[in-house]
Amino acid sequence: MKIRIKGLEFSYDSIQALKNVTIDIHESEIVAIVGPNGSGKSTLLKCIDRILKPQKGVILINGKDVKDFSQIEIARTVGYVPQSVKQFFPATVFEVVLMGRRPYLGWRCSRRDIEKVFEVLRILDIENIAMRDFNELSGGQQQKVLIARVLAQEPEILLLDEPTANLDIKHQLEVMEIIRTIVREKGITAIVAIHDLNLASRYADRIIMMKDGKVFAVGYPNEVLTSTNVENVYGVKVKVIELNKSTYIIPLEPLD
Amino acid sequence: MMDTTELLRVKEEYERYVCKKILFIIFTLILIVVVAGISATLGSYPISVSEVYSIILKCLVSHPENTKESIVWNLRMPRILLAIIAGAGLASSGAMTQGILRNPLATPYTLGISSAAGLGAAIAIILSKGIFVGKYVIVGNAFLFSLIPTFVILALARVKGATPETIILAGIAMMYIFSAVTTILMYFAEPEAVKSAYFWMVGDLGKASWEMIPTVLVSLLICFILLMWKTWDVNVMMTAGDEVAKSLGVNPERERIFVMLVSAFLTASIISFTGTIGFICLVAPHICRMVIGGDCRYLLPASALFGGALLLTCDTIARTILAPVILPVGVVTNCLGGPMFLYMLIRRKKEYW
Amino acid sequence: MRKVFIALILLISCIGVVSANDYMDLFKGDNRITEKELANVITDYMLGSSTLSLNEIRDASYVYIHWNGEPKSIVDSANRTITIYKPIKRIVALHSDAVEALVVLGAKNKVVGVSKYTKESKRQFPELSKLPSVGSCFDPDIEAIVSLNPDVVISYVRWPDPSKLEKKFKLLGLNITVIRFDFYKGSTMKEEIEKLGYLLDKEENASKYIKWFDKYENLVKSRIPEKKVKVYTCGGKPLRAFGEGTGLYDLSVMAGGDNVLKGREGYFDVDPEQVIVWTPDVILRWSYAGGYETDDISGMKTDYEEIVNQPGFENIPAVKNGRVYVMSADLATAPSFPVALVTVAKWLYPDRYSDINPKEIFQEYIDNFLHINYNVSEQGSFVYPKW
Repeated sequence: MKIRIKGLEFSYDSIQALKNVTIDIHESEIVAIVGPNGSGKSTLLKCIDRILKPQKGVILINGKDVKDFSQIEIARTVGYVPQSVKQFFPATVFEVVLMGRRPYLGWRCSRRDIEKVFEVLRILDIENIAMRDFNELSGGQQQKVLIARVLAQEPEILLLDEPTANLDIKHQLEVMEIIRTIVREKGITAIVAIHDLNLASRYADRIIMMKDGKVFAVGYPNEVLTSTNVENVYGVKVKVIELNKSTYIIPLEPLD
Repeated sequence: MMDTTELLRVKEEYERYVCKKILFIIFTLILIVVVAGISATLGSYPISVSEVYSIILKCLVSHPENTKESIVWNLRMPRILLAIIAGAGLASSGAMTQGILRNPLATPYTLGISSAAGLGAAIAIILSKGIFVGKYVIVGNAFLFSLIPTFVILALARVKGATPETIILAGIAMMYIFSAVTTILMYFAEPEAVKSAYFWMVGDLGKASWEMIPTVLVSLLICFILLMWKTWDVNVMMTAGDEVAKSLGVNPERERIFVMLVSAFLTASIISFTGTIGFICLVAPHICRMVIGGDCRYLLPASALFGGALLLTCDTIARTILAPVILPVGVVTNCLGGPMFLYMLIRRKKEYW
Repeated sequence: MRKVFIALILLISCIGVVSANDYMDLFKGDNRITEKELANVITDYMLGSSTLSLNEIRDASYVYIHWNGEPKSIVDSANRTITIYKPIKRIVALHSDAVEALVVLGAKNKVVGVSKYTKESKRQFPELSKLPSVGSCFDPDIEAIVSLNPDVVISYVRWPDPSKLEKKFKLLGLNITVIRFDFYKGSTMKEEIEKLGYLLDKEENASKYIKWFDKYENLVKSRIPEKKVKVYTCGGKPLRAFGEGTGLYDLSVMAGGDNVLKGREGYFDVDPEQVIVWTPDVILRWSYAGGYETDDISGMKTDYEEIVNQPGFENIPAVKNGRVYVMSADLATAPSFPVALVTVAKWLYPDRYSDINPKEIFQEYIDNFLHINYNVSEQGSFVYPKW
């Protein structure tokens, strides 16, 4: 068991975002978390990475309580790619990716750190834009850079918050392919919060469907993505079809 | 997937990129030496250029023996050194404050430090009837007062979280409050005292003496090292934001407070001697950023050196342009700062925020 | 006294300055130059074995003959004891009021450097305004001062800060004495003139001035009636009151007025309704427009009209009866103070001063003390409305 979450509860002031969430995540699998806006997807990811501290519940990574990890240990184990790609200060692509090495940096960055950055850029096929300003890139390129950064962290677990949110369909597929390749080749566990059900269906090994801060359903894509579930959680009437061994959801009309 | 030539080209580009930063730092170092060399030869007392240099060399090992030597060594040199140290200190704390607050317009003054120091000095000046107060009363008072906003902001940050927004708002509130109290004080004081207090606030290196150099130098060195220690973390906070910073093992709130405290202390220890010299903490880091980018590991030393050179240049202009009338350096930095900013605005290429 | 002397010796010997080291030895022990010491020094010089320069011997002789061998000592207006061991020959005067005092004392040929403000006063100081400038009186250029090689620098009491003056000279190891005198306050003017006169061996000129000052001070004092006139003093703007402790307030009270601002100190803005309640009989305003250098009265006229046109002031007796007066700072805050005193006294009690023409007294001052070719009737703008 890579990650074990038990009885997790988190509230923002008075709004309870996570209610008694209990999940198990296995090693080297891609888990997609789906659910409507406000169902707690982002919150869950942030709790795993200790960006947010839950009021109740336990998160175990490799059997060890997350609270017992030091900040650096967590940084070396879990990588987080945020939802918004906004860069606050101008920086080159290289510099952005280099930040991913922070958990390993001593008082100055070593040859190894720099080589690692180049390696990661090569993997994502973006070494040709290494010296370009991050803010001048397209959405697809920016997303790749953020993934490069998290790879430079050499984590065992990847948390991605809506990585395909602002991308066109080509880049959406590219990014998901990259995630799948990384998981398969490096044995990393990936948890992806995603709103596109079809992408989730196609790429995830398992899906967790959330509603109102609670886990609504867990299982293989074709188990979880049923028209009944979707109607219940999203309030939308859908048609489910099987194509090329994958399940696809076609939205029909909203239910009142 | 691997394209060796492409990768090699990029690696070369990267090396050049880093080289550029290092060269700039070396350039600013040379700049300081050159400006200092020129500045030492300028002054109302007639001393030839070669005499000046031989005097400096001589006084490094022995004491000045006559008036000429004394003027160069006891009058001009401390002033030059103070300008370099003050400029370096102000620029350093400016650069790091901008980093932690993620705002290129932030300065330690945004934290209310200058207004508080002004109030401290004004109180000392106005409440002391004679001029022969204890040597360090004005300096000490200015310093003490300038640390007050820092602690208020600390307390507020504890309650509301040490985010850039909280700190900036709190700092501006402090600025206004202290300015208001100073205004009231000056309003009811006699013109003579008001004049003195105003002169203090404009910023002036005229009181420089060898006596104060060790204090400011030690302060600069210690704070600079502490700030350099944090440059990686500030880099992360700056480029990635607080959430991702946490995921990378950085505690943004703690680091923000640490850098703020060090910057505040450094600024306070300088301006309590020199008065509030404006713009260096804004302009020096900004110009350096335009040339070498925002990486704090290079930006910090570059800003420090450039700030030193810049302030020294301004002070040299201030004391020679209308000789024998001496302008306070604060006047020159303010005059230079505005147009420089407009120029940078027109020439800028990248969006900052 | 002894402590100052010892400190001076230690200071000089520590920094290792060249001159005065042996000269000061003459004062060792008994704090005076005796006949024997002087004789020794002169004979040493004649025999070529002296450590003193000819100039120093001249100074020693001077001190012996004219000062009875003893140094001269005073307490300046910043409350410090100033002791001089040789005659003062070169003076840098950092402010124009000091320059004026030096002219009054007949010591103007000792002045070697002035402030930039003095340089602008070409009519008031035709010769001295041509001297080299040392910068502003608030932030003087030390190098410029030092290059003039003065014995003494005279500055305001409150400016510049000692760290920019005395301390700098000390750092340079120079034996330049800083004397702080204001020469713009009526209450301390005589004392300051007397002390400076004493130091410069111009006691005669000093007492001449003081006698002249006393004459008019006593005259005014003797003519103050039982029932005093109510005065309101202001400057900068009609509602900026000059209360107790300010020069203008002192002037009005010394001239015999009952100042409505009694009990309130310093400078402050006042409520116009309050001024109306006070019903002053005379309003006196200070102005920086006007002075020796300009004949144009319009600046002071504007100051006058501001008061007269101040909303609500038409109810004040002073305005109703046309008893509003504006005086130039050049006249009031300077050694010409007695003139200002008589002028104000006449404004307050015209019927008691029908025999006195203040303009004549001013001309007296200019002729006898400033020694310049200046006709007050035709030149300058010192009061409004006219004398």
